[in-house]
Amino acid sequence: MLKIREGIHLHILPTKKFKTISIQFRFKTLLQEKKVTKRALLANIMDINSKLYPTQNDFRRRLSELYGANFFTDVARYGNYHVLSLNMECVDEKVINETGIVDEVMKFLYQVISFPNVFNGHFQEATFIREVDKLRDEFASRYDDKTVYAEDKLNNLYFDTREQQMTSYGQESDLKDITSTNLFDTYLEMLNEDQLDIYVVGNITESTVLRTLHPFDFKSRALIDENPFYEDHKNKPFVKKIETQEINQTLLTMGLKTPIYYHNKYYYAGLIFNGLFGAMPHSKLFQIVREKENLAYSISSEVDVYRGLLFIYAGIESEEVANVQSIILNQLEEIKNGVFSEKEVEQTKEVIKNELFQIDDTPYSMVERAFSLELIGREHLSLNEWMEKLDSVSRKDIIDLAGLIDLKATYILIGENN
Amino acid sequence: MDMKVYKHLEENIYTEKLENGLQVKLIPKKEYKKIYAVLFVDFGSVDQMFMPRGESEYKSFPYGIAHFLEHKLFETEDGDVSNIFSSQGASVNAYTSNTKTAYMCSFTSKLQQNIDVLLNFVQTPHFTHHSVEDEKSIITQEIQMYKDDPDWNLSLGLIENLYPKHPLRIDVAGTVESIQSIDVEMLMTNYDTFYHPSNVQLILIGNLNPNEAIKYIKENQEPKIFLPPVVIDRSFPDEAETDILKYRETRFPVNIPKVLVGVKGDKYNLEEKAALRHIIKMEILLDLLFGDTSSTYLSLYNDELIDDSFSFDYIFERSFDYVSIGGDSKFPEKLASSIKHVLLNDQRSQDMTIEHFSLIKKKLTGQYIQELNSLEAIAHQFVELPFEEITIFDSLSLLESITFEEVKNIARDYFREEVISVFSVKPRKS
Repeated sequence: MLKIREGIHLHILPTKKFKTISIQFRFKTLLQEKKVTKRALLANIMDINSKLYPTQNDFRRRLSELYGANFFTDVARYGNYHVLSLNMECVDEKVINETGIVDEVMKFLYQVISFPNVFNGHFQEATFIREVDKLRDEFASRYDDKTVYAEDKLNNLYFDTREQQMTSYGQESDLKDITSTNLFDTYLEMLNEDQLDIYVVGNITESTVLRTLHPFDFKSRALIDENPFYEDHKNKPFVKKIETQEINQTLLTMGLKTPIYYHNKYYYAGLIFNGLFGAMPHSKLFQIVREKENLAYSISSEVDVYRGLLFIYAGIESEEVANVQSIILNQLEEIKNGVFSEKEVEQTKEVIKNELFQIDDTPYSMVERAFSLELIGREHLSLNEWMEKLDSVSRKDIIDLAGLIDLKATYILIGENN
Repeated sequence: MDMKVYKHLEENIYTEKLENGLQVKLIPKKEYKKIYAVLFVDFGSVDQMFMPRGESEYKSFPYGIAHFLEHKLFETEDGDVSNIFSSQGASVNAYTSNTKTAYMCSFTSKLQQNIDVLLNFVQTPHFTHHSVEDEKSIITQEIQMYKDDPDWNLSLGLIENLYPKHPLRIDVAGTVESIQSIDVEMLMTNYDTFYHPSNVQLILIGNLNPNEAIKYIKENQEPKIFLPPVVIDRSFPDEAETDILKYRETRFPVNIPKVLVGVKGDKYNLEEKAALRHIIKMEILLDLLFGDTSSTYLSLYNDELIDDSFSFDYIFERSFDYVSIGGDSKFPEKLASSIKHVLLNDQRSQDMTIEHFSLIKKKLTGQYIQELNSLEAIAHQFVELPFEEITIFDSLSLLESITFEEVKNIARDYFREEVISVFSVKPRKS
C-alpha cells in the first residue's frame, strides 16, 4: 500500500494472468441515514455524463474509443460504512498492440471524478431530474421482485436503525429533500472528506500508475477510525410478520443474530458453521428440507459478516410454513448439540479452501478481499495463515458458536394463488 | 490430440474425439488457480419429440423431461453427487437450456478424482420410482418460483407470441401438470437416446496439463461399454409467419410495467464459421441501433421511456433464432412503438453510419478480450458454439473482417413487420 496523501491509499495488485487492467476508486464514509440516498443518486449521475462528456452518447462514445473500456459506479454498505465506487476495466494494451490506453482511461476517470456535469454550484437540471425519477422507479420496482421484497421486509424487522434497515442505496422518502444544489455539496464532501482507496489490478508498474494519477489533486483528509462492524445493542425481542400477495410461492425468510464478523475470533468457526448449516449443497438445510423432505427448490443461508446477520431464505408451499420453520430451527439445534460428523466438517473445510484459492482468479474478488482487509485494519493475510486458522477450528468451537446464534426476526410472504 | 494456437491471444486449445465419440476440448490457463469443467449434452427442453433409440416412429414426451433428467442424475448409488464433490473440495452445478444440458464443476485440486466423478455421475443413471416421484414436488417449487418472476413471464410471453407451436414456448422446467406423468421408463428412453458419448462434449479450462487431463479422461472412458452411436432424429412442428401473435399482455403484482419487442428469425440453420459470423453481425447491428452510443438510446432515455434495465439480445440456437429488445418502462406502448419504428426504418437511422460502425467494432474488440478473463465465460462460449472448426477465440478476427455493407444487408433481411411481436407485463389493478 502506498500513501498518496493522508487518507488516500493506493493499492497495486500486480498480476500477469488477466488480459485487462482494472481500476477502482472507493470512497468510504460512515453510514448515516441522511447521506445514503444522496450518495446513491450521485453515483448514478456520475455514471451518466460529465462536464466534458455532457450527454450519454458523448460519455459512452469516449469509452468505446478506448476499446470498450467498461465503466460503472455503485454504492455498497459494509456494516457501519458506506462506500461509493467508480470502477473501470480496460484491455491491457499489450494484447492489442497499442500504447497509451491506461493513460487515456485514467484521464477519463480524472474528468469524471474532478469535473462532473455541474454549473453554478448545481448539477445540470435535466439529468438531475431524470436520475431522481429513475431512482424513484428503482425503489418502486423492489416490490416487483418478490425475493428482493421479502429480504427488504426482513431487514426492516431485524435491524433497529433506519440506515441499517434501508437498502444500500437508500430510501424513496429521502428523494424529496434532494436538490441539484445540495447534491453538489454531497459530491464535494465525498471528494474532499471521504477516505479514498484506489486499486489497480493487472500487468502494470507502480511508476505508470503514479504517472497517470498525477493530474488528480486530492487533498489530505482525516482517517476514519470507527469499527466497521454493526452490532445491535438493544436486545430487541423476536418479531414476526406475515403478508399475503397474489403469487404462487410462499417465501419464508429468517434473520438470526450471530457473533460472526470478518476475521474476528468467531469468523472461521462461522464459515464452517454456515457450510454445515445452509450455504453449501451438502448443508443440512439443503439435504433435509430439499433432498429428504422435498419441501423446497431454493433453501439457503448466508452471513453478512459486517452486520453479524445470518439470513435464511426458502421458497415453499404456504401450508408447509410451520413445518419448514420447525425443521430449520431443529437443524440449528442439532448443530448446537453437536449432531454433525467429522466428515461433514472436513468436507466443509475443503470447499472453503477451494473457494479461498479462487479469490485470485478474478480482479474483482482480489480488490474485494484487499478492501475488506483494509476495512478491518489488516494490511495482508497470507493464504497459508488463512488455511491454518480454518484448520484449527474444532468441533467445540463450532458448537460454542452455534450456541450464541439467536432467531430475531421472521418475515413470511404468503402466496395465495394456491 | 490436435492443438490450435491463437498466438496473439496467447491461448491454446487441445481437442480430441475419443473412440466412443466423446468430444474433449482442453484449454490450459496455467496462471489461474482453478479448473472449471463442463460436460454438456446436445439435448434440451425443445427436444421433446424424437425417434427413440431402436424405434422407427417419432414419439413425444412430457414437457420438462430434459430438465427432470438433469435433476435426477445428481442421485447416485452413493447418494447425492454434490456431497461427493464437496468431499473433494469441488463444487458442482448444472442447468438445462432450450437445447443443451450442462453439468459444471470447479476445483483447485484432485483433477483425476473430479474428472472421474463428473464423468461417472453423468454416465451412470440411477433412478428409482420413489425418487422420481419425490423430485416432482421439488421441481414444482422451482416452477412456482419462475412463475412469480415478472421478468421470466415477460421473456416467456414474447416467446409464446413468436413461437405459438414450437416447444420453445414451454419453459425449460415444463409445467406443474406436464411433469406429473414423467416416469423412470421415459427418463431412460431419453437418456439412452441423447446421453451417448457421441452427443456429449467435455470442456476443461484452467490450471491443467492437457496430456495429464486427456490421460485421466481416457482411463475413465476406455473400460466403459456404450451402445453404438445413433443419428438423433428430432421433429419440430411447422410454423408459418402468419402464426405469430402480434401483441399480448399480462397483469402481474408489479409497480413498473415491462415490455419486450421481438423479431423472429430464420437463420438458425447456419453452422460453424457462418453461424459465428452471423451472430457477430447481429450483435453489431443491435448495438448500432440501440446501444448507449446511439441517438436512439439517448432520446429514449431523455423521453423517460427506458431505464437501466433496457437491454437487447440476439438468441441463436439449434432450431430457432430471435431478437428481443426492451425492459422496464412506465410507457410500454410508447417504448414498443419507438423500437418498432427504429427496426423498420433502420436504413434511414442516423446511427447507421460508417463512423458509428467502426466505433462499435472497436468497442466489441475490447469487450471480447475482457470476456477472456473469465474461465466460466470462455467455457460457456464453448457450449454456446459447439462447433468443430471455430471457437470463441476466432471472434476477434471474424469481427475485424465484417463490413458495414454486410451489416446493412442483414438488417434489411431480418427486420420485417410480419415477424415482429410485442409482449407486455402490466401492473395488476388492485
